[in-house]
Amino acid sequence: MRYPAGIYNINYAQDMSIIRTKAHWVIFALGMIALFTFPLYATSFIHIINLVGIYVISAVGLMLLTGYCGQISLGQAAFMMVGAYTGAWMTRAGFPFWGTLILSGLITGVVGLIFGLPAVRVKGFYLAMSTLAAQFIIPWCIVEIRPDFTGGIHSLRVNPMTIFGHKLISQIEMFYVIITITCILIIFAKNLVRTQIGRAWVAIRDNDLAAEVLGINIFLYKLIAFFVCTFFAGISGCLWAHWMRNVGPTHFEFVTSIWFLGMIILGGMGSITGAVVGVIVVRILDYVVSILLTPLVEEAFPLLSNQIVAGLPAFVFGLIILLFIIFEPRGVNHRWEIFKASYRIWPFSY
Amino acid sequence: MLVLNNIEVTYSEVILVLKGVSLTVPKGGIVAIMGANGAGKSTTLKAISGLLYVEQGKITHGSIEFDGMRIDKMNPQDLTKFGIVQILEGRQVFENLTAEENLKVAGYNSDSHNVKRNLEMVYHYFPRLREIRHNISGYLSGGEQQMCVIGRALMTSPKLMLLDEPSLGLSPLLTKEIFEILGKYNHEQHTSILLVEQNALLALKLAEYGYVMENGRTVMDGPSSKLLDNPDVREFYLGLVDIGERKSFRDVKHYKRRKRWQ
Amino acid sequence: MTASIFQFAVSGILVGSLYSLVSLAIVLVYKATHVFNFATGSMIVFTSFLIWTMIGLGLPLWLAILVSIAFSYIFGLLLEWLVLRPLIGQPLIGSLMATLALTELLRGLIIMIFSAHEFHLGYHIFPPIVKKIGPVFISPALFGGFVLCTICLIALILFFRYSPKGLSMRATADGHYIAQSVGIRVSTVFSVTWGIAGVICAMAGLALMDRIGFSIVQTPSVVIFCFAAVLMGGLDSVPGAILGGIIVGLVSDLASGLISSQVGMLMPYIVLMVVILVRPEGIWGLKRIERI
Repeated sequence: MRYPAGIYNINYAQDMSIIRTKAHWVIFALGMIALFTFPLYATSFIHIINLVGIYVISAVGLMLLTGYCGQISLGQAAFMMVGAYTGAWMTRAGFPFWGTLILSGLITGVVGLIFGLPAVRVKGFYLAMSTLAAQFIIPWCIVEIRPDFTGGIHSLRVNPMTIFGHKLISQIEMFYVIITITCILIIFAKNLVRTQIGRAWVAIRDNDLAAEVLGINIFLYKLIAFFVCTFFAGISGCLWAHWMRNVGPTHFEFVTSIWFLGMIILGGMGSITGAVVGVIVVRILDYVVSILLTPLVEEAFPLLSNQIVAGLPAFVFGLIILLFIIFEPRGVNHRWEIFKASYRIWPFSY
Repeated sequence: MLVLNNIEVTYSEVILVLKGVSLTVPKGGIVAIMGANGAGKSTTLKAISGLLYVEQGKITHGSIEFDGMRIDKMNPQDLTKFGIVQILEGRQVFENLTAEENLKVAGYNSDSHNVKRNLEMVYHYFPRLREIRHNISGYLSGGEQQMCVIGRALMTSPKLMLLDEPSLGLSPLLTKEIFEILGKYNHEQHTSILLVEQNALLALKLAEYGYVMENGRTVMDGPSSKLLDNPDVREFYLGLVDIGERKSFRDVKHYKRRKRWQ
Repeated sequence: MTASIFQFAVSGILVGSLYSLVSLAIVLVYKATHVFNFATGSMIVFTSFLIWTMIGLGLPLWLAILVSIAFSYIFGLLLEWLVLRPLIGQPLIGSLMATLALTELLRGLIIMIFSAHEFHLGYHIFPPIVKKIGPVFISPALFGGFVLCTICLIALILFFRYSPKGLSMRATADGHYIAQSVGIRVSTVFSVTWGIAGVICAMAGLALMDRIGFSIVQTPSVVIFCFAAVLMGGLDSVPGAILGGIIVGLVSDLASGLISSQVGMLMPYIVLMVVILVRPEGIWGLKRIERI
């Protein structure tokens, strides 16, 4: 059901391809053109698109670790924090932007490796608890150890990105940088997933005992998954710091990690597209809640308006995630796949 | 008496697994279902005992009747109290409980008035269980776990037992012993048994009637003596071709004869 | 110096009894339903608000507590029925995410209705007789919590060990479908478990309320201490949870007293990491039996 009727794979390259038919290539090209010309027709939404792009990078990283390798990470926000502070500090110290980006990713990757080390002994729930510990230990370290470097509990001002000597201040300029990096990383992730590493991850997710018996070194591949996930988180954090021009410990709390997990569940675990979809859906949700729902609820309870503004997004988010987990745990992507399958075999029902 | 009327079972609303299965289990009788892997045998048992929902399965057509009452909409706990118990595939004991606690918990939750009596009965049929009753069941050997699981089902004072591959992973000797005990139990307590079994020879020896399933349909049924003599069953499920004669590998040809029931 | 070590040790043990109580709620839910209830913090705040509202409505203390216990039980039942019941049989991430989403939902709800401020009762529940044993001061709130915990502990251990209902709950913990196939009404087991967890949260809220007040911002961070305690003691061990709570309380109070309060805040996570690395199933936990 993966392809329309009449499309068969007759060699390995076709079987492994990300874009299979000519029609797919056309749609892909059109999509890329539409994406890169966004500023021409969607100027008022650019800052949202930028944030979506940044979150997508982190979500894709989390998807690789949790959706493909099956290791739940409750600390994605903390890892982004590492990338953010590293990026902020390095730009302050005058490093060139591309170097900052890569180095933030690498340093965050190493930190991720440290918290992935328990994978040698534990799995599943206990590994998740280790990432939970990371979610609290990392901010504590950043805030408490040498607060003069990191601004402590106060936020740190970040200088703008400088590429080839040109300061990027406007949203549109940052848009091109962010979107390019996002696209590169998504292509990287999609490729990674169809290599031996990706297959090993899926094997570990589905039955790690069987994978180990087959000779897959699960510890090594789990560590690779942690590294890649936190690498993505670091890059995402670095971009976020330069976009927000401001980093502080309150931006990367446990709640944010939960939101990331929610994004990949909404989108659909086990596919990169799912991560992208999940971020977009949550952003739309946020928009709907803050612009449309909040005024309605405020009208109903005028005395509580401050509290409602603060509490409604969390309430709606929790509710939507719960509904999804109960009714469609495989996310939006799964519904899309069912839709595609059903129209391909129409008029038969199964 | 259990009657399945043209059951259709679908998984996840899109995968049709049982395509119209009808069978009967007479009161106090033993019926075997045989078939290759993926034929739908476990699905049939789960449809009867109500455990389909776990894998997002649903009975989309047909009805199941037990002693005249429709049972296809009942949930598994009510069915157990009603007298139908399924012994799941794979020796699934309550791992962290002792063997005796496994038995007791089944007793308390189905036939709570007769727990002591049923416990003694189970130990009478499975003397080995009495010796190991204080051991944690997760650490028992495969055979002991299977005995524990069957004993657990016996504690519910069932009218109908659904056994899903009881010989899975057991040594031939132990399998023979367990099948003998099952036969004895059926003879003495008049409990009907519906058996899904890959070990077709043993299954047909124990059962009085058998069904052969393939691809979600019953393709053949009959008294077990007739099935044992049927040449198709002998070749494809019992592996007995030209008994007693030596075969040369030169003669072995895949699917020399087509199955006649397709 | 020794006197202050002693002081911190004793207060640590008494605080630990509070962590033990909450850890009990988590372990209870985990034993029966195999779900780690991340929403415990939000539940404690919610039940605290129930008590606070009852008292605010003018009910005498004992009646307010009784009514709140009843409502907390129902609250637990509701949560189970609405959220966990549909999730029977789902993989780990489903139930994990569900309780996390529940935390968010309750957090948003509480902020909307009550706001994020810190609330206090305005008076003390436990009689303010400051006990003094030797050089050590023991606050009545701490002591009250300790007594409460001990009573709950004994009741629950006896329940799980010896009663048929407790046995059914332990069996359900080992396999939901197997339990159903032998006639255990798994849904009742779940409901009762969550109801009891709700009541325990109310009791914990009561003890916390007297000592430091409650708020949706601060109280959940107390629960993290309990996560460490639960893992240390073993997810399915009731005595392990108690012991874990006391040890975590001891260690973090000693750390915050002798080194600094920031380090005291870090201690539970360090404990968590150490436990995961050294003995993940906990000191008293049942080792997960995996036959290959």
